[in-house]
Amino acid sequence: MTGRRFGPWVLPLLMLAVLMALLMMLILYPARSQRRPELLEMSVIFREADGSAWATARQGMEQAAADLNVELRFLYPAQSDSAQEQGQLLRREVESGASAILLFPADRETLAEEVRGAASKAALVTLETNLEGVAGYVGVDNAALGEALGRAALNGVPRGETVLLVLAASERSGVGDRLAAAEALLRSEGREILYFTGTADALAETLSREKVQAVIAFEASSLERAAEAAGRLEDPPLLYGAGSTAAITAGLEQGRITSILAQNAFSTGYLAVESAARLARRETAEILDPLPFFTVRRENMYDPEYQKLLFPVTW
Amino acid sequence: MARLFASLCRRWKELYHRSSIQVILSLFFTAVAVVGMVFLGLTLFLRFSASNNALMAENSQRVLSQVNLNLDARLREMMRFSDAAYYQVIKDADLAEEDIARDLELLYYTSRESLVSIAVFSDGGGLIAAAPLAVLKNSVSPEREEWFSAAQERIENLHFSTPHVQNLFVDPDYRYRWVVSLSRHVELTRDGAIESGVLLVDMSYSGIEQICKDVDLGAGQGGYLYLVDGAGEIVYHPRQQLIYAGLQEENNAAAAAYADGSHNEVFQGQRRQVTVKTVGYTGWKLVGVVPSENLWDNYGQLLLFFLFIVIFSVFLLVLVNLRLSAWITAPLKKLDRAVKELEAGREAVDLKVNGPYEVEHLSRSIQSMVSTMRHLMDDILQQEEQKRRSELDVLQSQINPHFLYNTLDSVIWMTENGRTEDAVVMLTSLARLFRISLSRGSNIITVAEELEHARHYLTIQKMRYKNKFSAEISAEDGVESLHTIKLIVQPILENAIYHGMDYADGDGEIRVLAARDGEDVVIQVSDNGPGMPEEVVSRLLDQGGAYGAAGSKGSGIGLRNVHRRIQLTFGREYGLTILSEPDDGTAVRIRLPALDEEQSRKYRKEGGL
Repeated sequence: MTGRRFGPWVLPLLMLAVLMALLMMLILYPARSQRRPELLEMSVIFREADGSAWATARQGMEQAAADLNVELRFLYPAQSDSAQEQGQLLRREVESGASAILLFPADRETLAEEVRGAASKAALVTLETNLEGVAGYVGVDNAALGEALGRAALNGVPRGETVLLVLAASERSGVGDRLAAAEALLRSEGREILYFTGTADALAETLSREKVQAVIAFEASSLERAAEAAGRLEDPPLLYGAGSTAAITAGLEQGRITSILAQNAFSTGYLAVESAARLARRETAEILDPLPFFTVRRENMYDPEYQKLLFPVTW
Repeated sequence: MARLFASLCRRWKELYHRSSIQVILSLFFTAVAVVGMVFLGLTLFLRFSASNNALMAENSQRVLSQVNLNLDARLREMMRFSDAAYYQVIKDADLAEEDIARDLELLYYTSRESLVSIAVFSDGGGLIAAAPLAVLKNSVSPEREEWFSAAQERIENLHFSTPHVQNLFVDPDYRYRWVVSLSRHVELTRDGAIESGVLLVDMSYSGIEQICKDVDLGAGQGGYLYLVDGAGEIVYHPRQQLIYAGLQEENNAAAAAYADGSHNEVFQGQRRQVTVKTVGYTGWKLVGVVPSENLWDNYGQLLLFFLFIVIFSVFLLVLVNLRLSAWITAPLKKLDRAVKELEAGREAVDLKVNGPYEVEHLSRSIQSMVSTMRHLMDDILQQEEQKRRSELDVLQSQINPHFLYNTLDSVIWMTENGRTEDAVVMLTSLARLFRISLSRGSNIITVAEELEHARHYLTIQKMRYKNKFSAEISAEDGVESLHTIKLIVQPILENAIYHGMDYADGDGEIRVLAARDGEDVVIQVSDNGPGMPEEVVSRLLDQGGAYGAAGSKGSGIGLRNVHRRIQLTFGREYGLTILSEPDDGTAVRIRLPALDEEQSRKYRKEGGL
């Protein structure tokens, strides 16, 4: 076919091609309202057998899951702070094909191998405790939080007096980091340190026996126990701690807890799911800065900004 | 810019000059149709978009009105509840004698779904009665609360607070619930004396949420509704906790300043259609938000469909235009082809073209011009032919006058001297000579006739020259039946006699030999005369040379005439060749095509001589 004879058909043929392309776009290009990312399966492995300490964070996770089309599976170990069990859960979830995993690690060393294996197969984000070799961590700067708790205790405890530190289950965790930072500060400032681990009753007994000016609990469940113990004493010591459950806010309001350092648990949960989902979907994820924490006392707990922080809106 | 425009113009002109009329017509038809369609389509599309926007705004307003009605009903229910508590329980009771707690509790249970608590406080903030929880927290000072002071400051009004956590009563379950407080100033009776107090009704926050949630704004286009108080503080938002957590922001402060109706705003780089409706009494504002991007996303689909329709229509148009332009330009193309054939030299060209008036007129004009041109060309050819014939006639006629005069003079002389027999012979030969010369008007005769003509001529000349020379004419077998133009040998003989035999003394010889040479016939006339030097020979047939002066005896004009006649008739490869050396005689070779009867007709006909 010569150019002259072919010429008149070039335009119609081109237009036919454009028509076909448009038709394909019409068929394949859905409206924005219909565009949603593929459903992502995400497992959340808690550190404690009872998830009440992270109930607000769970709300944030569920909100993020609804926004980002993520199906969440919440897993609690039968025994709190059991790194071995967490490791088993982690392996099982990876083997069952979870695309993303949120983990509250109980012990860095025990979990190190399982975490390395899991991180190579799924998007792994940790909360509360940061781990090497894991792409994401959502939480506060534990050392800074521990130091802030220690500094809060310094105000009420004169030099030479004793501060009781409620021990973490493992010193190789975020809670352990807080404790270490507080301990270092208190020692450097000339305060005596006592350590404790056990139930509320045992703590109450220890406190009635020992001359303790202040108690510091570094995570919500131990703070709840400490508040319970303090409630049983006629002259309880000053109590400082981290966490913001309903029992803790009640303790704060009733004066059993002197002050708390609270983070926005809803944000923590939301950001953790968002971060893991982005990693799993190979989207560009910003490296998150450590989340802020706030010092809340009885006097300011109903200030609007702390009210929103401590009491999540529930319908 | 100007250079670019000029370049585009130049390219367009080049394209215009290169393209066929059909392509140009197709392009213009299509361009005009496309521009028209796009203009019409865009107009319709923009009109549709505007209508759709208006429809969306109208829809948002309708939805907001409905939500407003429901919310208003809920708030009025709370106000009625407050009225009931005040007028049925508090107002008529003497607090010194009656405990109103029981009545308040009964009232509370009538609306427990929408209430969190109801309480009456004294002017100093002391709790008088409350339901369902009745123990005030130690840490609480009601008189410092905003709802308390608002009720005391504007005693005639009911006051709705922004959402807050209900923190007044001791709850053994540590429940902290978000509420909206309705407070009012009340008059309390104690021992017959009237004192001021504050009635607090805490509305369950979920009541507001139930009214506002799941409201479909923007027909599934991601629209939502939120509620702000007069200061812009959020009362309800579907993503309230995200906003409280600082993970999301809302333009609530600006929305509080909007008047009722639809507005367009840009918030965080996103265009949104915002519809505002003020809730009666409270001063709260319902704000409906529909992201314009989502509207445009739908428009994008629509635009894609619109483009599809436009391009499909254009596609059809192009096809139709191609056929249409081909149909319109077909007569012109046919005419163009005919003219090209004419240019190529074809004679039988059909120039008749049916089509529109202009094309038919053009066709007729070209036909007429071609016809006129052909007539003119024929005329020119005829004139040329006539000119050639005239020239030939002139050349041929140059042979006769001297010879006729001399012969007749000889005949007179012979008759006067009583040589009647010789005169008869001479006249007979002359008569035969002329008869062959005439040949019934034909210019083509047989070689035999030509040789006979030469023989009669020699007879006459020999008598005139008193037998100074002898002559011999011979022809090879089969040559005599061939054809030649006439009177080609006689001028050569005349030349040979005048130049070769004039001074001969009975020993002059002239030989004429006709022979076949391949496809040609060669008639050679040779004499034993004095001959000629080479330079004379070379100029003898030169038409413009010194020997070309007509009329002079021995000028060679006869030779040149014969040479020219042969070449005019048969072509330049034929004619005379002269071979001569001084004192060695001369031979003149006449080369002609060997023509039989059939072949000679062509020249007879064409020449017409």
